[in-house]
Amino acid sequence: MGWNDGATIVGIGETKLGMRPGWSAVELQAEAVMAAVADAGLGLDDVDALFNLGPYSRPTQMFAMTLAQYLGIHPMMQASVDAGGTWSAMIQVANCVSAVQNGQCEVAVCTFGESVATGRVVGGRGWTTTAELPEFEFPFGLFGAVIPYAMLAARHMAEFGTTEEGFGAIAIATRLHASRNENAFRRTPFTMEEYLASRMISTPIRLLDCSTMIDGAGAIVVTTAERARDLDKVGVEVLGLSSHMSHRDVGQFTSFDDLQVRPIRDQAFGQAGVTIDDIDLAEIHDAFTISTLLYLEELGFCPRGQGGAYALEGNLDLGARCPVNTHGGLLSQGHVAGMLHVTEAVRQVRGDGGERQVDGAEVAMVAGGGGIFGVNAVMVLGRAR
Amino acid sequence: MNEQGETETEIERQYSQSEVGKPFWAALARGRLEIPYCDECKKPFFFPRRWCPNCHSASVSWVESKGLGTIFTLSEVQMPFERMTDDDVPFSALLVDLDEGVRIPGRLRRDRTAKIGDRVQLEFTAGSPDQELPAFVPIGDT
Repeated sequence: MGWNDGATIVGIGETKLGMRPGWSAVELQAEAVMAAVADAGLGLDDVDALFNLGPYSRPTQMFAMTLAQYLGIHPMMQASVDAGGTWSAMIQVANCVSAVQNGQCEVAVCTFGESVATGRVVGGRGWTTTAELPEFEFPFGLFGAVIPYAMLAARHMAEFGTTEEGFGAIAIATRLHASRNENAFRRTPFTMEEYLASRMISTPIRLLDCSTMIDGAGAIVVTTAERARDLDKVGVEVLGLSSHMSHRDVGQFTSFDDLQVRPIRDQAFGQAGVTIDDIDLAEIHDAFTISTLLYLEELGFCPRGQGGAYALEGNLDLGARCPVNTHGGLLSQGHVAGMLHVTEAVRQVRGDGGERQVDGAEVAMVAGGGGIFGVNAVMVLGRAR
Repeated sequence: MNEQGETETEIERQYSQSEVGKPFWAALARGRLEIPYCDECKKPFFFPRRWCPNCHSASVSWVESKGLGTIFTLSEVQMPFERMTDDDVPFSALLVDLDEGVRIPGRLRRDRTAKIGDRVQLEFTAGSPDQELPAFVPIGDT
């Protein structure tokens, strides 16, 4: 059975993003699920499978059970899936699709989000906080997210001639997109001069290279193709999905080739029957500007070392051949690990992008990784036929 | 006391998390860099674990490294993160390709500068290696 057989994305939900003191992860995820189910024209009682990821900022157990219990629903299957970054979002959607295709359920919902801005506990996992301190890396100062990413950004500069201005171009283009998204947390555009004046955190990563920590969540609803036809929404299908894991900790990074982004792209494109020229927009992991820059190159939008120049030339913007991160991404909209890359891709393919709609968008790509580029994935989404 | 009957050092107390990694920290605290070695593959690997990550043999031992290598990457950390104070920054975090053929994490000595591709040597603190982690210094800079 192909990816596009028998399961359709029919609902997307996003909470208001930002500083939301008093809101816990389960409440934010519940809000996103309710919004997505309502968007689909379904009720919470219809939900018979629920997948999520627990908050990194406040370690939890059995968080899908926590959420189902909070919502007062009793799904046939539920699980928390911690796969890493944008891949966590993609694999949750894949779980929904598989469960529906297999006939294990009819309406599957997945969600992620947390109160990372206001509800973080010291020692929470991930972000700048970290509960797991890799034994042979932490003592030397390699821990968290920023420092390891900075080390690979520095290597990218040395190996391919990437420049500071290249990173700046990504940050500027992404912020411009966010300025058109009412639900983005950072919406004020900035100049290269302002970028270069922003505080250095860990060379070459500056403050404006870093994603925005916010409270918020997103959710996706998948149902059978048959049931989708009775609903009011333009259905969106997963046409292809491929991923590869190379390492977990930055010390185990071997080479940019070994990330194998190009082979997984080719596999996902092959499943979808598309080429890069068919991709109308791309929603790309951007925990840091190096992420977008690296994926633009590895995915084949431009040669290695040219990601910055590609962005400087306006190729990420609305009106370009393939706009990138039309919602403002993790950098400017806010870090919800990739769930909102998927909701935005679905929104654009439906034609519901409003002011930021990509003209004639039919095929979208969600791409990116988790960890410190340790797992990478490409998902192709298209309008249901 | 460890298996060799030696008194536990400050370095072991602070950084050792796993039984299998203890010899690494014990050696560092005594002025030696020892890296895990597969007796089947006849090759070192990093990080320490019970099985060789290449052939999965359980015949793993330790080999002393000369501590000589080339900087694979470097980032100068300028902002104090959680668990750090203003006095802890700036410092440069490194990944170093040791001449023995493994890539290991490390730090640059704080009063030195270096760039990717530079040759470095691990330097143990004179007097009190059991207190302070060794740092890399650029070769010709000692």
